[in-house]
Amino acid sequence: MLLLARKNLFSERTSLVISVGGVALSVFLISLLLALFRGWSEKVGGFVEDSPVDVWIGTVGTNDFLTAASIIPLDDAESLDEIPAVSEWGAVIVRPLSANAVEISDNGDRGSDTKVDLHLIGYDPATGIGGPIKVIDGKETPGPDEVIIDKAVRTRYGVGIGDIIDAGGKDWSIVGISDGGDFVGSQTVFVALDQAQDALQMVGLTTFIAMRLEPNIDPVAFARSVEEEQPGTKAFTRAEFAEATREQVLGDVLPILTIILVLAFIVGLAVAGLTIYTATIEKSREFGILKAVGFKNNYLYRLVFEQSLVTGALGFVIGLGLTLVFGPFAAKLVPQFVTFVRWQDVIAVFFATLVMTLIAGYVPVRRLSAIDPTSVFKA
Amino acid sequence: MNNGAILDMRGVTKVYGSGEAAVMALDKVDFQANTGEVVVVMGPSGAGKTTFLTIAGALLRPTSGEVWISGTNIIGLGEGQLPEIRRRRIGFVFQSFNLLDSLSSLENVALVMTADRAGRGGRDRASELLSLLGLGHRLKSTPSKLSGGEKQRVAIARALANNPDLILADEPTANLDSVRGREVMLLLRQIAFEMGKAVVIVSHDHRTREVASRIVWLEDGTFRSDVETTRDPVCERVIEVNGAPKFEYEAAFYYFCGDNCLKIFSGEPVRYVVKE
Repeated sequence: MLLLARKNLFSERTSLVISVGGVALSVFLISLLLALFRGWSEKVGGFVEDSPVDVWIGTVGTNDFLTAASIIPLDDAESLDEIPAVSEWGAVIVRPLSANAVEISDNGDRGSDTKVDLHLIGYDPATGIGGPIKVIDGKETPGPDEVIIDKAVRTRYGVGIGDIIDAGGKDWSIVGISDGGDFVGSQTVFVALDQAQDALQMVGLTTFIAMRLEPNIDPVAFARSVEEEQPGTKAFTRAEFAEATREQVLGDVLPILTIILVLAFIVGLAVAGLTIYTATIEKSREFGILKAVGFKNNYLYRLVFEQSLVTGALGFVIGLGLTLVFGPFAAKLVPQFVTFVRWQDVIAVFFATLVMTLIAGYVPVRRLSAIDPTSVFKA
Repeated sequence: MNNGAILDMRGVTKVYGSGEAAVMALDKVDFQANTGEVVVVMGPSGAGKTTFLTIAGALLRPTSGEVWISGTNIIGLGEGQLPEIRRRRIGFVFQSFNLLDSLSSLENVALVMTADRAGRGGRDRASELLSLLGLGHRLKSTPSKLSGGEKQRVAIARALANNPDLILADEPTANLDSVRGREVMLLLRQIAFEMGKAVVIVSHDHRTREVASRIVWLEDGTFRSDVETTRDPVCERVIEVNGAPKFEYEAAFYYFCGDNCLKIFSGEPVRYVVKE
């Protein structure tokens, strides 16, 4: 790095703080929003992605895991056992519902009710298909009148093992805590299939049929064949279902997020551009001196671009650091604030910062070339 | 063409603007400055001194004429070649010092030597030059921590950094008190005499006459030929003959900067008159 670029940059502390701060703020905003989007995306699609299910089947009109109005009769379900491609299957009920979380004190007294929005999932504990991804505390499977709640429910509403979820007109005793069932906007609780059918008046019915296929079976081809052979059904592979769920939940968020990202980029560009341009104006006389004593315009351009790039690099490191620190901290305060920093996004933000600082450095170039070296003869 | 002069300007004319708004800043000016010589260019405001200096310094192109610096006619050079001429062959000393605020004395001097490339050599020579000019203890000081005289000495060290043949000084004493101003003038004379540089000083300050080998008077864009100068035999300053106190001794007239020198001379003329 040029000596003068380094000296100019670090001798003007206030200017440095403003320009680096502007870029850092922009990088922070961009990377935090991206991390938030990735975090939500991870959470929303995570349950379907991590469930050991190869193909999900619902009725026509099913778009995703959370909001499907699918109802499948289980009358002929036994016939699925005879399909050679299917190694295992299970009925899975998924219903959004409002419930009350109730804390139970040590002496058995009921605490006050806390309204919660949940997705009740009924699954067959015998096969585990559609059940919790991982149980981290308590019983592995729920029995009659028992429920396993996602740890996000515990975090957000302060209920745990021994407390009660009042849903579907009955009390469910919390017997286990699971992980991997947080959809950000709502969380999952797991009960046995027959219990869910009773509570939701869906006896003999299910929302989805979830299948595990034999290892040599292509899930995509199988899903398409199901749709052809069983009119009125809609089949998804695991990846398709996860993506469709993400699209359903986050599809409307993405355009808004894109606009905010562009605005953050413009803010960073404006702050960096203005401070670099102002610094150039302030240093006009010094640039004139340099020209007078024999430095070419190229040297001056390099001087400004190096200062701009170092400003960008510092802003990038600080902004990214803030994201890495602030994300987990914010998540503790607001459970919905789920962030996930992908290395691909870090590279993308780095290049965005690079573009930002290169444009900011280009702004004063015309000004530099117009500086008249004879002006330094004026007192 | 350059007759051995370090700076040789021939028929240099500079016109600003055009048509009725045209202003002739220099009109067919001839000027030479040689090795080991201090030439002081004096003249009233608006006489064209700054235009003269910027053309001599390869910062401004004349409308017509030739400018030779160390044997190179810079009029024939492209815009891209002039910075190198300025950096290698000319040293500038400015009225307001024009040091770079964020750099130390050492870095200000080394910068023009190394063209801001890393290298130990530039710093060693810069340190040597600054020590030579009495600033060995101020190497790491930034301009804000230096006095006016110290700043001007750093500027002189910077002007000498690339060992140019020509030093151009624009009002080098204007921002200095009389003591510091005199120090700077003596330093410039020392540079001309001992280092063999051609030093051209543009100044309003009559004290600069003390160090001048020659004084030229610029007025209305031309050098006046009717200004006769001579050297005071007592204090050795170059003075204008016209209006100066004079004393006749052995059928010759001697001119003085003031009555004091006249009085000293008249008491013992033989001491100051060099016999041929």
